[in-house]
Amino acid sequence: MDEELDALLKQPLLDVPAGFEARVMAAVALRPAPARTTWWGWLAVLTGAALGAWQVLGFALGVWLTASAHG
Amino acid sequence: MTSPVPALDIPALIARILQGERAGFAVLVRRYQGPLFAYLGRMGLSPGVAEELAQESFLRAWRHLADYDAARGAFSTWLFTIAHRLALSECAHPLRRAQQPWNDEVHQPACEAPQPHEALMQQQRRQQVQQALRALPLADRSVLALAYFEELDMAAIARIEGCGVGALKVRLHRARQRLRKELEQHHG
Amino acid sequence: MNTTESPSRFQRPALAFLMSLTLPGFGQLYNGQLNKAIGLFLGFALLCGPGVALVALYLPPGATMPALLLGLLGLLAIWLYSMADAWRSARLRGAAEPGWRERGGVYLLVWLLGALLVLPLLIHAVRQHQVASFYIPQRSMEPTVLQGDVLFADMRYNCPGCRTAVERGDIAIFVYPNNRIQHYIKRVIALPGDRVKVQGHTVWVNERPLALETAAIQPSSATQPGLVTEAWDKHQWQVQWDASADADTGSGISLTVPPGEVFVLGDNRHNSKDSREFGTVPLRDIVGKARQLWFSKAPGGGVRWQRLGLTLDTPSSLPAP
Repeated sequence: MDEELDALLKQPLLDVPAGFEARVMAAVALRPAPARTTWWGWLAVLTGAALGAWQVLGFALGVWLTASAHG
Repeated sequence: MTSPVPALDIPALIARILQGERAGFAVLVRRYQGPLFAYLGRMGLSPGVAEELAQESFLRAWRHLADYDAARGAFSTWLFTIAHRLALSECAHPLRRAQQPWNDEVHQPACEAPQPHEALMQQQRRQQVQQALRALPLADRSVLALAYFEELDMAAIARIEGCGVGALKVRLHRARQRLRKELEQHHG
Repeated sequence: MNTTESPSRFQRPALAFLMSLTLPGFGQLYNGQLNKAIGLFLGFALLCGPGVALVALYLPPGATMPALLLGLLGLLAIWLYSMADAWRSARLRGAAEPGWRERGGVYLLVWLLGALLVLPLLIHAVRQHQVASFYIPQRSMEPTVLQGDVLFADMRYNCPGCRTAVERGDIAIFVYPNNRIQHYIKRVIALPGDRVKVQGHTVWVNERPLALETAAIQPSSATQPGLVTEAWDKHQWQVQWDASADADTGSGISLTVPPGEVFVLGDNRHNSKDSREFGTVPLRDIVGKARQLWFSKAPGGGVRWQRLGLTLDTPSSLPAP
């Protein structure tokens, strides 16, 4: 029984559609070359995120941010 | 049918691809597209969705090709990890799709053309198996889908699934039992 | 039909999350949820600016502190929801029309408009014309305003078309005449055309003494400053004198306030640099009227909780003139 099941599952249940490889390679052609994710890439993202979050906080507290009134 | 593939020095191929020889990627696509579609079929996905996921898997592999480390595992394991995550996500939360039909007409048999008897039988059997697979819980389907690709051994599948080899064997056994019961109950 | 130049149809949840992190509603735009994007952004913008004005100026003073807290929580909720929803929706949704997601230029423009134009302008407008916040680092307005107080100033004050004009007795925020990058806080004592006479710790405006009684309500001693109550029409306040200078009458000041100018004095009469020193202040330099404290931290350290929400305008106990 098991061999029958195995045989059933080993046959490809889906065929590769015609032209699939061409479509993939065409999409690949549009993309930049693969590049290792650099540590400074991560740093840039984190810095940008931090700056963005800082700016949002600034807006949220914008009216409250105080000037000083001396005397 | 998967014909026996000649031995391929994948790390060397990838090195050449990274140096600029983009066409080398087509070799990888050609080698793994068959097993990938077979796997996606075992996940119970329709042809249109499967093509979307297959293309996305290759594109993601392309994007992160420089991060692939041959020392950490075989390329097939890496590629199927990507595909598996996509497939699981799709099965758990199917994406909303636009109305226009995907390449379904490529796979729908043309009603006018006469079909040879064996081909029709084979197609019916395929659909039965797919329906039975779709009836299984995702956890069972997941291990069954991965288990019938020769290049992935138990250890690799266990890594992709994130469980131990022992637990994997138990799951596999149970999944096959359930599938058999499903096929017997509903499809004779 | 699967076109050859189809971009990846799969959203990137991390990107959506980051976009909403930098600007609430932005990640929703990436997911193609236009209405949600606008709603979240507007909600955030309204709470940032007009919401604070509403709370500080248009609600009863007792509601200020709770409403401020609610507003801040609301802002945080909108921001966090925007991030979480952007992530979740990117995972679940199919791509929006492919054209959208390739338009990096559109995203840049939207971000510029939102983060560099709309929000800053809105907040600036609220601070210029409705309400602004000021921190008081010095002691010249004791005992009314203490060092370490933070207050809201009503900016709908002393401007064409505004509701309120400058009155004697108002605590005003104005531009310091001798250094225009600084703001000062003092009480307006005399308006254009008034005759002011200051002698020691007695002040007359138009021959009327400010002090309610001749005797101090709290005589000054070695440890405590003397307190005198002053009043004018609807306003009443307390004024503080140091023991050491109690007997000092000194050479007084006697002048007529020029047109277009006001005479200001700090309530802490011996610890205040005011019109006695830098002269009268042009009316047009008065930007706002101190209205209500929203925070107070003692110089030593602790938060003075009992001062939170304190209004600075004490109505007079005198009968109407």
